[in-house]
Amino acid sequence: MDKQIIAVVFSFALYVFYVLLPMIPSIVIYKLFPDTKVSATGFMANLNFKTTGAFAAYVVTVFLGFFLVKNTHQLIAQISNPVWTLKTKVELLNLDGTQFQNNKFLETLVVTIDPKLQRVNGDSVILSLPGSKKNWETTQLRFEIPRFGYKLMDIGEISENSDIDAYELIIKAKEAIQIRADEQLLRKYSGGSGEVLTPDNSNGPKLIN
Amino acid sequence: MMLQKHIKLIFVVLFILAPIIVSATNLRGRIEGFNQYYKSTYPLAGVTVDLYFQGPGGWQQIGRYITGSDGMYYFQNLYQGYYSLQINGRQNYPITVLNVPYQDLPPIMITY
Repeated sequence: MDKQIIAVVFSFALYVFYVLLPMIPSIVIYKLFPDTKVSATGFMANLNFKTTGAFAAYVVTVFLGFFLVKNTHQLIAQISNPVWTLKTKVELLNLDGTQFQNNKFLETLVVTIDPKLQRVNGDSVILSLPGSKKNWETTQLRFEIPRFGYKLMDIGEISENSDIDAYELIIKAKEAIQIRADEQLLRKYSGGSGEVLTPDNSNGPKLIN
Repeated sequence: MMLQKHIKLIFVVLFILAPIIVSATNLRGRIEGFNQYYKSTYPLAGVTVDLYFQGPGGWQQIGRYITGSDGMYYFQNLYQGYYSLQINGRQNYPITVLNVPYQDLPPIMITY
């Protein structure tokens, strides 16, 4: 079944449980203590309420259940916004159509996507971020203007001062990300004088690949 | 009383001189690819450059940069000493960071 349909079914089921389950304690209270006077007054969603009896118990249970349902709803929302994984092989062909075998060549492959994962409109940037919230601390974003400056931030850092809509999965930063001009980037690179760095794997950190 | 005054003075002097004595270095370099097919060299984008420092517990990763279209990588606020650059997790390049504000390393050439 499609993940989005599952999310709708879950969302509906959650709503039904949220409305019906709190009835259990109120029925129990009504049956066991019919003469006990239970009342609740309060202020919720700009409305004053005053209720008594078993219905008061219902209102209190619904109110307490709200926070649980809110978190569950976020989880359901994440199901309806899945991240797809594309797996494919890439082949290189020579001018004559014969296969060109060089896996090192493929390491330089650049894949772009259209529409882009990033959209820039004036000074506003919209980014589509892969992965879930648990990856925020380790997902690093680099906002860079070539030969001017850059700013490195992880999503967790950005989210600290943002409005987060966990249902629509939107992080709206309250403050602009500042890219400061970097003196080093404004200076001409002086490393390209014919000399190159020499690799040495005999003494260094463990290789990952 | 006099001793306290001297200690305060030493602290003030050290505070003023600290940025001069221990200055951090902004390091940069470029990753270039030599394309054997076309026999040409150009900056390599999307290369992962990891910076390691050898601490008491062995090599520790202290930074990561993924090169842009210009093939450049940058690491800021490094102290003088011996480090290692790891390219795409496959090749180590030992480097020495000098006590200068800005340091440009020679390019790293990847042949493919």
